[in-house]
Amino acid sequence: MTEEKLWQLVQRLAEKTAQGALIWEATAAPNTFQTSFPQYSVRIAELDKPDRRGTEYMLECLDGSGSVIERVTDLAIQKAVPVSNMEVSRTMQDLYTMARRRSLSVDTALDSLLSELEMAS
Amino acid sequence: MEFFRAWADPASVLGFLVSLVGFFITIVIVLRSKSAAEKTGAAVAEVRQKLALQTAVFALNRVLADVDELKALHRASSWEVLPPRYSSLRRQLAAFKGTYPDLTRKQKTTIQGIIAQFSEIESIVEESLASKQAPPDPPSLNRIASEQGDKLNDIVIAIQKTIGGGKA
Repeated sequence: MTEEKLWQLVQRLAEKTAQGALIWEATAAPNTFQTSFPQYSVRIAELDKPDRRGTEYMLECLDGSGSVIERVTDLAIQKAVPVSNMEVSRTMQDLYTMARRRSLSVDTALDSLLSELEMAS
Repeated sequence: MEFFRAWADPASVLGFLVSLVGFFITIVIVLRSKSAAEKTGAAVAEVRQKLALQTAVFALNRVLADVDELKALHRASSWEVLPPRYSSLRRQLAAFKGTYPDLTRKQKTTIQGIIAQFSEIESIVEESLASKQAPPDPPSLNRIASEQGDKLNDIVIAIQKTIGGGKA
């Protein structure tokens, strides 16, 4: 089933991102980040849903010419895969947060700020 | 008859030696011609390689010029003419990535990322055209386009270094 493979993809992306093995970059769309491989790219986006509490996360797969070939949200995975809703949402939220931090080099900025504060004290 | 009997064996030995020398000379000639053919083949392969690299540089420079043109069109807010140009750019990059054999995995990944970035920009411009409004953040489009141009330029420089170094 495609949603199960997509759920596996989300989990693997989260693992590899946590290990620092993937390069994420910001895109022209707000709250959207992408990572690429020689033949495909993957985007993760945080969607504002005014009619729901919280937010929704969307993963897109793009082929070699940049066309979106698959798109899935955390809600769609929750409906299709027998895992807890919390686990899917938390994993996609973690992936989004890590992608955003890596693309904006947040850790580097924080290390620099902490180092500056250390020198100032 | 006596004469022939007396000289038959030395003549055979001499004939054998002459054959051996001839055989040796033939081997040397064959090896030399093989070596020359191999050298010619290597030279032809090197010329082909350099031509392929120069073609690659030419193709990427053309894409870079297209990126600069896109940025100018963004500044001029010429949104209607842009979508086919994004598509053309993506097609050129996809063809380059698929056909140019000497790209590294990292370079292929970078080009794929550039294709995906222009795909996203294209979606944003298409949505704005459908809603008859300008894209929400035009400067961000040029910022992203400039970053992609810089990445492409890095690949051009790497390929040019390869041409200069004479290595594949």
